Amino acid sequence: MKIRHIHIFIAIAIIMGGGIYVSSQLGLFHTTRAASNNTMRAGGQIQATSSPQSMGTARQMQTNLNESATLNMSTEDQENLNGSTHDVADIRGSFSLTEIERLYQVPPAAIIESFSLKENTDPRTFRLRDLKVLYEDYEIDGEIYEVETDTIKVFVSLYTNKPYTSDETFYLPEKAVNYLLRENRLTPEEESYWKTHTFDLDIYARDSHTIQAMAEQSSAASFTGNTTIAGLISMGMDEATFEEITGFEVPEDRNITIRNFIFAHGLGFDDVSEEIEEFFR
Amino acid sequence: MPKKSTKSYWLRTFIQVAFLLLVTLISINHFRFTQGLPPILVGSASLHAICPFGGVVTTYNYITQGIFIRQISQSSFTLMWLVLLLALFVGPVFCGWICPIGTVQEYFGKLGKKIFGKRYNNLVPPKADYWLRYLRYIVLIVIVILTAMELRLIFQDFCPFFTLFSFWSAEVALSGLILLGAIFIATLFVERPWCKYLCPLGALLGVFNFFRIIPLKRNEQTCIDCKLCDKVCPMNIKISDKRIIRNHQCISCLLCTDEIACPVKDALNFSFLKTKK
Repeated sequence: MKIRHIHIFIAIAIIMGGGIYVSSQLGLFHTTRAASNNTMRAGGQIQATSSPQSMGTARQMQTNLNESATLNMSTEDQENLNGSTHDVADIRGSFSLTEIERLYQVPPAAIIESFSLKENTDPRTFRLRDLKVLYEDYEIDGEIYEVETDTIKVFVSLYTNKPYTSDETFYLPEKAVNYLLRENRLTPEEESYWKTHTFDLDIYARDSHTIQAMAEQSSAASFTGNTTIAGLISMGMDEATFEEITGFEVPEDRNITIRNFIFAHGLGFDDVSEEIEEFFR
Repeated sequence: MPKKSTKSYWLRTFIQVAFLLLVTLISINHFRFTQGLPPILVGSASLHAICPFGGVVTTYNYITQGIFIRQISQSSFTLMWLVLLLALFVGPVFCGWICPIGTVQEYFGKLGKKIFGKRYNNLVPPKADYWLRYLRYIVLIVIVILTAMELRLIFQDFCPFFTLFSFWSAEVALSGLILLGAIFIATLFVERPWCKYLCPLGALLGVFNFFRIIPLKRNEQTCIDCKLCDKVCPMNIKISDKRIIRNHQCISCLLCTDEIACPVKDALNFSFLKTKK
């Protein structure tokens, strides 16, 4: 059979046109980076970003533990990972407890109990970043730590036995460790480490007046997707910070909304907005 | 150019122009999107989202870490597999029929043909031309390695596709504009200089010529040795002295075949079957 122009035309129509149509139907043709968290299919482990030399003993131990947890995973766990699972590293401060439950199968009650939240906390509206408002920073062995999104990542990693290596969280609230022990979620190695790396979260809880003041301050400096880049700069963000967060220079036309700028550059809205919020906080 | 089948010649032209217009419209829509304006007719995806080479440079990070590098989306990765599948059957059809940079070079090159006549596309010394054609493989390897290490689109600052279709944008780098200008100038002397010497995607797709399911075959029994096929090939491939042509530079444009240039029926075409002896 000789291949003519018409055959090439048909091949292009079938393979390119049909391929795009089928992949769209299968959800494999997103032209923007997902705003929600990514799905990890390769089963790879997220590596610690800081160098081992800069880590303290506790940090190194925790890293080793996470690596050990990955290596010791059962075949079934590894198959789950190799199939399609949500990457713990993709948990964002903007996630609600309901989203954590949906994406990682960690019930809201587990986080509410482990992080001393009020029993009537609404899992749909409570965002992980709210933890920073509820609790003061705590100090252990001369180092300052925060209860924040990364703390939840470590908790979720231990609860679900999904790999995650943190270079920030080396202690967990006592209640969180007790909860994990009660639910039989820790390996013997993890148990021996975390039992000795706890702190009493309740003593760092802020009083209601402070929480309210911080919430008001936060909302005053808050921005939305419709905030323009000029607006961000007038709110106090310098150009260097903007470039650092987005990876791109401040455009000449500063009247572009941050949402459009993010999408125009193929960035994840949640990734960038969280860093901007972090800056203003 | 059309000697015999005018319809066939215009079919490829139609597809080339259609894809060129489509990409132009998408890039305009993307710009409109950043201005808060609605898209016209088609979507407003970023140029990175519709370029299969984005899929090539993110493959390593996808396999090892399960991530796409910054600015690369799923569509780019999917397009890469579709283009590779197409190449497996019919070779680098993407280069000869779809790629807008190839199209722009091809039609801008007609100006060079008018200037230099028969000397056009034969101005580079053969020895230099031979070795320069391997440069694109070095470009491919360097870009893939650096992108995997840097986790960002290092090629963007040089990419003629990105530069041409967003030259009005502040994102375009001076290096990209200089390279694009150099390509346009070179196109006056050489046909498809970017494709021949530098294109990293063309390099990857070109490899498929060695094992494509449907190769170009010349029937030595019926060939009258007129060498028209050699003359019309935009990639300067010497076709007339081989029975099966598996050259890494072929772009499957079909200009040489008996449907367009070859004057003898069944003497030169792409086919599954072995040529009768």
